[in-house]
Amino acid sequence: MDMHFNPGIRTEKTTIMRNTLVIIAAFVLVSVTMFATYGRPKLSTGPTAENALAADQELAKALQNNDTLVIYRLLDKDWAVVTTFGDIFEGPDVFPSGIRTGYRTLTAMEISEPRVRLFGNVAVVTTKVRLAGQLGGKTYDNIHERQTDTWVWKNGAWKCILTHESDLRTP
Amino acid sequence: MKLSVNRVIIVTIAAFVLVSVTMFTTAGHPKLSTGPTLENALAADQELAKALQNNDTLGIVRMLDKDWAVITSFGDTYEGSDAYTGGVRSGQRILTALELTEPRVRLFGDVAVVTAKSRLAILLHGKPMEFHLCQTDTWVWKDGAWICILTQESGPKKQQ
Repeated sequence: MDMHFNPGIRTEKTTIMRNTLVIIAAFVLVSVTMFATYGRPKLSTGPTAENALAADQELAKALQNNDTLVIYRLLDKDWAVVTTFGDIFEGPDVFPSGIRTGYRTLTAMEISEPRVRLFGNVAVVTTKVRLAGQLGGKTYDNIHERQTDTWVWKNGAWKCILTHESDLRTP
Repeated sequence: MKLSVNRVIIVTIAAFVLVSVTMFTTAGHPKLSTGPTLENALAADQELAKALQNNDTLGIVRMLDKDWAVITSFGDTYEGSDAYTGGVRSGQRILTALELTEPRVRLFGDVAVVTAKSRLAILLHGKPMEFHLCQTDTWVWKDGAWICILTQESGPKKQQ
């Protein structure tokens, strides 16, 4: 008797296969969810003053570490920086390209005295900044600024849309 | 027959009232129904600049959020819409000119950032001063209008 033609065995086999597939799918789903939220525990909470400040601190850390990938990830494609001299540089590659060519690298970026305001899906984070690094081969230390990063909540994460720097006359 | 006539009169009156109310509420705000756009964000920024130049305290307060702040080109932070208007009322800080040029306007849903070069002429404690700055106003669309939530200034502009 050919086992393949036994309908009872076929049904049992199908059920086992189905259960196996369901278990695998569940594991994949759980793994993907864990992977996607790893290191971003508050992604599902929506925009808050706390996670806006955390995003700002993450950007400052990435800038200090000259971490081009994280800098790029946190900046909107239409991001721009207004410098203390009033110059405007546009695009998320402004800092990463300076790092890649070695023209502009940081050794310190400390932010303090944060003022965070949340307006729905937008947050403005103003901080006192101390910078150290080199620009065009010339080293600098203890540059003090007051800067504002404007953040917009997009697809479950903060994106910086503008950085505006002002010279800090009295550090 | 009489009932039908009454019904027609009531409907006509209701229609007139509805149209009048709609016209009244949108008077002076021709773009209220369009939602946030680059154009009306820039228009709001120009309106605020005009109110500042005219030392129009009511016009200024109307456009600033209660949680608004300004960061000056020296890095000082002043909070609340009275930061400007207090100086105007006391006569300590009177503007004689505020000209905005080269605006860069970006819209992100219901938020807009307007960065522009500014020439600011001012009487500070009676002493005339002039500044050339670069400023950003951050705007949020609230209840059908733009409200400024932050102003930050940089400068003076580096000479090219």
